[in-house]
Amino acid sequence: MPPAFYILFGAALTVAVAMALGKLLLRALGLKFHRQEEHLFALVTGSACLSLLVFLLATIGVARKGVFQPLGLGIVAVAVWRGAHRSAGAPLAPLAKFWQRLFYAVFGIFTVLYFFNAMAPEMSPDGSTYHLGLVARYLRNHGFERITTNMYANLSQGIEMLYLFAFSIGRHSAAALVHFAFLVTLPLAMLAYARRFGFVEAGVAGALFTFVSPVVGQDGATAYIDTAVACLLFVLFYLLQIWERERTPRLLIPIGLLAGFCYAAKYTAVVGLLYALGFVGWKQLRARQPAIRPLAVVALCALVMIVPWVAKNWIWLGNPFSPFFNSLFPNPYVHISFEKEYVRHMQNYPGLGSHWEIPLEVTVRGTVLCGLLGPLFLLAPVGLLALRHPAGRQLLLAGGLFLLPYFGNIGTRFLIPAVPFVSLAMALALARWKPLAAAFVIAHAVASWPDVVKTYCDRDAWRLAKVPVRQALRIESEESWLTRKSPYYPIARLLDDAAPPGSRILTFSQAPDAYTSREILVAYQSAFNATMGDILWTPLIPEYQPTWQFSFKFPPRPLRKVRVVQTNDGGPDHWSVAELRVFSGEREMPRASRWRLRAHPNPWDVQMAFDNSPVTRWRSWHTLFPGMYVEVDFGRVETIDKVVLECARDQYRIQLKLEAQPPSGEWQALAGEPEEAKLSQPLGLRWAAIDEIKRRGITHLLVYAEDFGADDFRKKAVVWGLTFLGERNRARLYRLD
Amino acid sequence: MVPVVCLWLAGCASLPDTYAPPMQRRPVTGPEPNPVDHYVTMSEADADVHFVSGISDTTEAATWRWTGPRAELIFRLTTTGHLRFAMDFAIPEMTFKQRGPVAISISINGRLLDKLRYEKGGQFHFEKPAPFDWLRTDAYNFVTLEIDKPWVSPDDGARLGIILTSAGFVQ
Repeated sequence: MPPAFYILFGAALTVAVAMALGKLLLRALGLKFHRQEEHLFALVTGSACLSLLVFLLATIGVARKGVFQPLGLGIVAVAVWRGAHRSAGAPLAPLAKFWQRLFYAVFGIFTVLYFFNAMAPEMSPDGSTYHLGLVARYLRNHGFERITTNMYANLSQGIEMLYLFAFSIGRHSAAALVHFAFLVTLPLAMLAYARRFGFVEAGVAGALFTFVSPVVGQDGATAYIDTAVACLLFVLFYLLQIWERERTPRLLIPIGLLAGFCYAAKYTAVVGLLYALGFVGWKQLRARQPAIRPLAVVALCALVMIVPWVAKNWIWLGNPFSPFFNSLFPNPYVHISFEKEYVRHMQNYPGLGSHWEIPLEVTVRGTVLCGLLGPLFLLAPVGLLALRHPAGRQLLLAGGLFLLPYFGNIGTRFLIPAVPFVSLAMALALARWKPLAAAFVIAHAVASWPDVVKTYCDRDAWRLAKVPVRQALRIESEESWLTRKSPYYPIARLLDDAAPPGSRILTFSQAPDAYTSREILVAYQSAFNATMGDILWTPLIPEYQPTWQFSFKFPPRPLRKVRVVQTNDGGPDHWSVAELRVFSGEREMPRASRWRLRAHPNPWDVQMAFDNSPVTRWRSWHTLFPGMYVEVDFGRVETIDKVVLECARDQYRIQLKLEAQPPSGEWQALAGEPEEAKLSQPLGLRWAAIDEIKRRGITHLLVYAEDFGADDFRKKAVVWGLTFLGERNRARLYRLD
Repeated sequence: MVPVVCLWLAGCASLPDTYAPPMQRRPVTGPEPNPVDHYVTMSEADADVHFVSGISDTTEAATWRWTGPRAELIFRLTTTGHLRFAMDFAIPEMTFKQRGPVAISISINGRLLDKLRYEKGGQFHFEKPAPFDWLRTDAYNFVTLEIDKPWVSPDDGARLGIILTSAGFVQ
């Protein structure tokens, strides 16, 4: 069979199974919708069911094509046998000829554009790295495994579960086509909503405003998840609007499942659950009806979708919401400092002069914030005129709420969940002058076509470039296209060719996980990886090297425990200790196995301050606060007279004091200010650094030309103890000797 | 409710509180295992093992050193194929007033690799394939830099060549 068949079959079967599950669920609940709505609601609620099903299969280790395919075909067969494919609902109000033609013309043209882009070999930055990288890994393992070295594996991955189903049959492009299915569903749902609630023309305009928006199309035609999340949120909103009118209690079940699926799809989409609970509670209170029961139904159904992801993180990582809330749930897998830095970075993209540039960036330019909505959205404030309309108020309320997570990450695609609501609100305002609304649709469609977009956006804006028919149909092979176009793919080939199976490859930048079976550890993606990076940079950065000595001297005293306490407050410094040595006279006390070491914060790395290695250090991985300590419990009473710390100099603001615990008694201050001395720069650091990361299971280094220290790795490979294996697209692979 | 339950559950997660001392690493008492290798950067602590003659004992600004009119360096190679000799250096503009255009002859194991001529100051990167049959793996490889006209420092009368940042063989 040609590759295109498997791609289409993988995607089609996934969508069909989701739709079958949804139809069976909605039918079992006895819910009645209009004909057009049935398919849309079935697909979206069924996706939640399929996602949960795949999660369970991955949990018990049977996530494989041989399970997915017969199971999927069986589900579809059951649905057909039960007659679920036959629609029972009445059709929605018809569209006027002009608006129908306008909608299907624009929708059809852009559907072709998006379809071929989704079917073309997947090479989106996040899709070809972590979204599908993790999916591929789960498929290789036939399910989940405990991953502590990739924070993206800790995020909820409800949509990726659908991708896993499709990927098992049609690989990367099948997953992207599943996303495309949500992309197509979204405008249809918007139009159906407008038709049901009586503003058809605005529905056509609003649906097309969203659908043809360049960033929506670009995102939805790749294995990202943002457009799917937008679709979930919109359908959730839509179902709630229906519930408000009909007050069918059973409707709260799909509402709850969908609200929970929003969280399962993306953490930030938890706003969907908050909205659902708030909406149901408020409407019940206003109607002077009891709210507890409907709220409980929504919450419990939502929990069915949420708990698996929360439990997975809790059991494996000790933090149910990893990689966030690490202060609340301290754990060895994600540093608190990283989380803070990451959040700050997401709120301030490099290259953005000020937040006043955001409107132009997200609508017209498209480079710095990665994508553009189209110039039409400069008119977004027009949507406020929709406040005069009851539906407009509902749309703006929901859109405003779903916009909130955007302030946590200002990339353009993080606006997508709010775009359908803003679009409909704008359309509601413009639809008072119907020719104007139609003109805006046509103008926006023209301005969003790839050949036109490139005339006004930044050259490097994230956008679709063309209709890649030959590549989608694999007339040009995937290998050829990806080698020509993807910056990552050739690197993946290098990894597979030059590093044996089982290799663990450390790198400082994103790497092509989705196209290699080798395990890649990116330095920023976990605490472990960051520590590896810290070790590797120590030979390169003099301030990281232990050349700053603090000596606490005092008359000989019998002590059970000693600890060095850091007393200063504030950033940006972290406290670190390369070695803590204890002396009795001139003799350093050997570190006995009965000693017990403790540190706060980051207790898990305390051994690195007691290993005699100049390239490892305990780090707080937290900005300074009073009360940080490194402690030694001798396990018996020892007479000592000096404690020495060897520290790096990248911590200018630390203030230290020594405390000790005598055989009987409380902690007490011991010695005064430490004596400071400068130690000479240790030698042999490169070799020692490689030795340390080898001990931790790293087998290879992948160094991009832009990475810090790349030149040193290249020129001093022999001294590091590295063997150069090959280079692709300015990334060099070394083996640790 | 979910956060409360999770807080409670997470509180039950058992991670060690204290740790025993780890295996002790061998104290580092010497330089890198192969102090003479295929490339030298002046900022390295043990850079001087590569110098035979004609290079200042002092590292300036932790990154560069003056050469004399003739500087000789040694490099150890593990392979001779597909190597390029590379060098990062600078010639201060002010020296041209005194000495005029400068020519630098680069030789590897006594054979002239290239002769470079500069009429203006600046920072430069030189890189050129090194013929494999000029190189050896069983002994040190000597690289000689000869500057045709030294610059005489008005302060101490030292005869100086160029400012060298790094040099050696790369793949």
